[in-house]
Amino acid sequence: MATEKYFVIGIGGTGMRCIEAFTHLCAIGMFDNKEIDILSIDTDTNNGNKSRSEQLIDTYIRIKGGAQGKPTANSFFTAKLNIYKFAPEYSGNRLTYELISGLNTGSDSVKKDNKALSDLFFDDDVQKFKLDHGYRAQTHLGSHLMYHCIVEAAKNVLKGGQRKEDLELAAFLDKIYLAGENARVFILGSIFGGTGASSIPIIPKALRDAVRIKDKNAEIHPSAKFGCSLLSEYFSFKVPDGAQKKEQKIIADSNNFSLNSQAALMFYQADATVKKTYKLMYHIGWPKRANFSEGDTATKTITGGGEQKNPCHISELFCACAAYDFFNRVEGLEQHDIVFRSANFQNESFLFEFQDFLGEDKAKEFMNKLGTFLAFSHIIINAEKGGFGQNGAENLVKKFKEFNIPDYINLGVNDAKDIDDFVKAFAFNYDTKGNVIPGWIFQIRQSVDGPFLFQTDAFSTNQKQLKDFHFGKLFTQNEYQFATGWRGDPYGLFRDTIQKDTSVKPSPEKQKVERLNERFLAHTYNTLTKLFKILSN
Amino acid sequence: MKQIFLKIPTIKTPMQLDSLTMQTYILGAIAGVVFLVIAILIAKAIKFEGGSNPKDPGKRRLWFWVLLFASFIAFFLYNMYFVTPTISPNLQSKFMTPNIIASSIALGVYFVVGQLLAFIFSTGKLGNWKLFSR
Repeated sequence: MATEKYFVIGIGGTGMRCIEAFTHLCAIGMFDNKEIDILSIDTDTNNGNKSRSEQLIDTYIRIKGGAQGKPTANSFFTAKLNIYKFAPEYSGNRLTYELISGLNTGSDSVKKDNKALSDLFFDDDVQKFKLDHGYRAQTHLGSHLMYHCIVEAAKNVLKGGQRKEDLELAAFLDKIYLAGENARVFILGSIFGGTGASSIPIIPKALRDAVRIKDKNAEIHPSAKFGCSLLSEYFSFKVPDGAQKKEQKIIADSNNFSLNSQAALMFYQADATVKKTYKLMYHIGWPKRANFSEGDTATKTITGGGEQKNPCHISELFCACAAYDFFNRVEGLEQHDIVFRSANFQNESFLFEFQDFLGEDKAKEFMNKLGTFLAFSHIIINAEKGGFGQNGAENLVKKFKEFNIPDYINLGVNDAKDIDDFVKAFAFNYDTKGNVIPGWIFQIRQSVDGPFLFQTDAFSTNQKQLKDFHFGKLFTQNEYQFATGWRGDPYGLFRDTIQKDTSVKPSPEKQKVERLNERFLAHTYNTLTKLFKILSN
Repeated sequence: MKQIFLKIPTIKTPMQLDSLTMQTYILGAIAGVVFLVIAILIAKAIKFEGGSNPKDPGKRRLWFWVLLFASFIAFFLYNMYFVTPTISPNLQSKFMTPNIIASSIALGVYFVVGQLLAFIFSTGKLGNWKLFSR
């Protein structure tokens, strides 16, 4: 296991949100000692979800120290992440299938033959719609074009092309090739009709062919393991009306998502190539759809671009957990299998427990890491006023100086700001009007009816209530609470413990933390872990 | 106590007054300690605040100074209204100076021990009392 190399590929808008969930799972410290290469693929370069995920990973990488960063353990931000961003070029004279395929080039007879061949597979409207917002649920077109753009990128690099996206894809491919049989590649995407559905069947073959094109002596090792999420429909959005359908001609319709998922699953079940390629496929579903257009007063369906910034959903976290399982699994990788997990469902809502996400043997570790990071968020945003226009992480670092712990006083303002920004993206923030802006974990919680792992008040959308939340009582179980007495002050106890308890200082041997900000994070992690007593019970 | 309510003087001679004076000085020191204990309890009860400009250190310092002067005033008034009536009228004027000195002892003990504690626990809540800091 120590020599395994880990790769994640996120495809399409849903894939981007799954990468976002995966990044947060890395941030809380679930991937100790690992270096993970992440490739983001989306045809829609201005997609709001894509930019959000990539900015998050960029912030994470800066916290880890950039390219020089190293994996650590038993702390926050333990995995080292590398990001590669790829997007096909769909603009100008490559805006439609018709233009890319050159259907209107050549002699009359060549043009006629090419058009006739294309018409066998694609309707005329499908050949002519603009690709800059993605494949719009035309998976038959998407699979063809996605394979083509990956292979084309390899050819461009071989010819000396300098397109940034092509070079990043090539660098990612090189790493998979060099990993040999130790490569574990996990693909994150949906199956209900978007870019992910188009790409999941063809990505492994496209990557193999691309590697061979770049270097005819190279190939992805036959024993490299591929896994993927099969995320079926979990949301809907505003259905396009007749006028918009007439204008756009080709537009995704969420009424077709269930049918698309069914068709995709039937295909994966039957297709020999898919079965031969993927060791494990994680089937993830949700019993009812979230309406992503709720409250949206726009009259038109958003087809993509910067306006497409769907909220996070717990299904995406389960996809990230699927990647965790795939990377850490020792058994069950010999032959193709489709796996799933179920959770307690009563009165139309799930009653999630920590063991439902990563298994019973990892339940306490997950509980501790998620809880301590959420408590850390409350400290940074509320106690240290990060949510009130200040740099909460910087304020906390300055407190260390007041405690006569000078270890972190040289922590740079930019380093502290990155931690501050990440924590707000993870948990919450406040706007100038006093509204709570939900971050990732808050959005995950809002996607679940009923209770969710922690005290309900920890996710309050009322600023005063959230600001006064007692993070020592984050967990519902009494044995995992602290500072519970009369006038209990969790922030005060946190400060006292960090200041006086030498056992919570970072351990270079166990945690492998060298950089200042990583030692600061480890110190904070150790303190909260000791206070919550989850791992000692 | 009965004597105090009825204001029956019990100090009638200069020797008795001298003895009372010594007791008052000792009581003054004890009063200083009592007020200091109150100040410690209040300092501990004030919660830590985070952020770049927390208000809690200022609150603890304010209470330190309030109780400093309160220790002097309270002990002085106690001696004036509860102890002086027990002294024979012809000797009462001679108790004024010891009263002031004893009240100053209360203030002094409070201040000195308070500053000592502030230096010993300089990184804790009591550290906010420090008059002089680096």
